[in-house]
Amino acid sequence: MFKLENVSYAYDTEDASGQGGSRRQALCGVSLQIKKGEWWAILGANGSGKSTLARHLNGLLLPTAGRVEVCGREVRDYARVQDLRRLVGIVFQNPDNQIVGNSVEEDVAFGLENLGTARPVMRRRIGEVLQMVGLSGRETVDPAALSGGQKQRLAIAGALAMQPQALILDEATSMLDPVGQAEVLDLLQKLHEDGLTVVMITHNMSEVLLADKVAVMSEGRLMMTGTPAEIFAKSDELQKWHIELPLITQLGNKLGVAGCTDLDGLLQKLEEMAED
Amino acid sequence: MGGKRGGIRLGAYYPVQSPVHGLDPRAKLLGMLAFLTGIFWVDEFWVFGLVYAFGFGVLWLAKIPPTKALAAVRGLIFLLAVTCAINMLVTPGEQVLWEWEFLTLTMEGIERSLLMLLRLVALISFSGLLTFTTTPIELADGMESLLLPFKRWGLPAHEFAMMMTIALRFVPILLAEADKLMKAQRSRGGDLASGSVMKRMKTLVAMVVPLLFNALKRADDLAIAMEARAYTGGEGRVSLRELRWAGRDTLALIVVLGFVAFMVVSRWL
Ligand SMILES: Nc1ncnc2c1ncn2[C@@H]1O[C@H](COP(=O)(O)OP(=O)(O)OP(=O)(O)O)[C@@H](O)[C@H]1O
Ligand SMILES: [Mg+2]
Repeated sequence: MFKLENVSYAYDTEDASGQGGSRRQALCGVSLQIKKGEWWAILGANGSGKSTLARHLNGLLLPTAGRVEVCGREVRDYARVQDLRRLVGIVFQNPDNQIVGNSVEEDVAFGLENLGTARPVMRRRIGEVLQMVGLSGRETVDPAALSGGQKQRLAIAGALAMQPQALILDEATSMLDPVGQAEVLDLLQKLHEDGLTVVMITHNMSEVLLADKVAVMSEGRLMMTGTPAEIFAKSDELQKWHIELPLITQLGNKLGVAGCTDLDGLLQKLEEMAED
Repeated sequence: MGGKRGGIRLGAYYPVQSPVHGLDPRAKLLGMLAFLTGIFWVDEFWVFGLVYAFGFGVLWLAKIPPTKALAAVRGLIFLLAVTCAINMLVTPGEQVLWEWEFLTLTMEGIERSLLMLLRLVALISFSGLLTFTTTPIELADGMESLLLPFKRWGLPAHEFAMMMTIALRFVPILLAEADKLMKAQRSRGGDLASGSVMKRMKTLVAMVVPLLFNALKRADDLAIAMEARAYTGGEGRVSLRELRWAGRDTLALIVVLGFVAFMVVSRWL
């Protein structure tokens, strides 16, 4: 689905005097392969380059060095950017800053309108995706009247309407209450079961556990990849990169059982150890 | 300023179903433009009688209470009275009724200023016909469609409409934010309505800076989100909302244009 080879990216920044010139290196030689249908979590401290990485996955940013392939094709080789954007949807952090439409159906339609989709097809897709995200019957509601979780589900619906192969979530649940978070995660699990590739940037360790694979970023570099259990076993390194593990995992690591993520798992492993 | 989310309504849309509400916004835009222009041509009391009859007739068709249309006039009543009085006292004429220094009250002056008053009140109360019966979104779509032919001369028709749509979504959010900041300031003892000039300035700055900062952040976020959803401008875009010009729109426009023609011609009757 995604193949990154030695990707580097530097933002042009203006220095204090207002004259440009300095550049800020946000990604340094990142290589990563994400297969179709996988669920990845991306971990990293603030400013470690996670969002910058996410924006490379649908051509919002083009690497200053290295290559990015999406669905087997280099991002620069897509004739129309729209063809790339429809393959990979992105949901951002603040629900209020990514809803464009003045009603639920208009917002879902936004991407389709940009692709020049015929109206009858638009209508059908709107019906389908609102059903998927559980917002059927809300077509004409003002998005401002929705809850945080509903707004993010609406944003997901807007991406799904374009029938993407992958969905990127850039801290998409961080501004939601626990109910809203659960709504969004349930939906993602359902979509993932149907074959959607999910890349989730998060600071929330319980969300990381939903992923098949985890990538850890620090200062623009990809530090390591692995399953959540593998990653969680390396608490010393994670600490160095300013990533806080769940208490249970920290406790397990201290007791010599690496990578435990819940209490039951920890107890089971401790019992096994006692038996040996 | 109501801080309630989604509770702030922009524009004056009066949500009922009526034959006027159901018209194509382009018909209403063109009709209104013609009607308002026509009002400037009217120069006889009896024609104004017909203009008001026509205007209130359409208001009745649109199921809008006349008091609603006249509410705008009420707000401007002082301004209207002063303008009218000044006009009355400085217009020269033959039949002088009263004179003092440079002020003269003449029959012609009274007639002129009353006609002007009728014209202003008609303009103010009937221009609401468009915004009462048409949602801002419909207006934006209608304007985009009408301005499209001028695109080849560089008129950004689509961008205007997109701007309007986005403003509709974000102005209530920004208003709610301003409301919140104002309350926060007040709880800290800052108040825009009292205190020394210096203190008020400080309060204002403490409100405007975060407001501006947040607005810029929102604009930035929204631009990226729109781009991520394949937005590249108006080219090749198909809007979900579709404007449909029907027979009744042609009919309505013909009736209005016919009446406007009469208003213009009435000058020579
Ligand atoms: N538009 C920009 N212009 C200049 N520098 C930027 C820009 N966006 C990000 N940066 C810088 O690039 C680096 C990586 O930023 P990025 O937003 O990718 O981090 P992040 O891991 O997503 O952080 P967070 O957890 O805060 O979202 C940071 O040092 C940041 O200051
Ligand atoms: Mg980020």
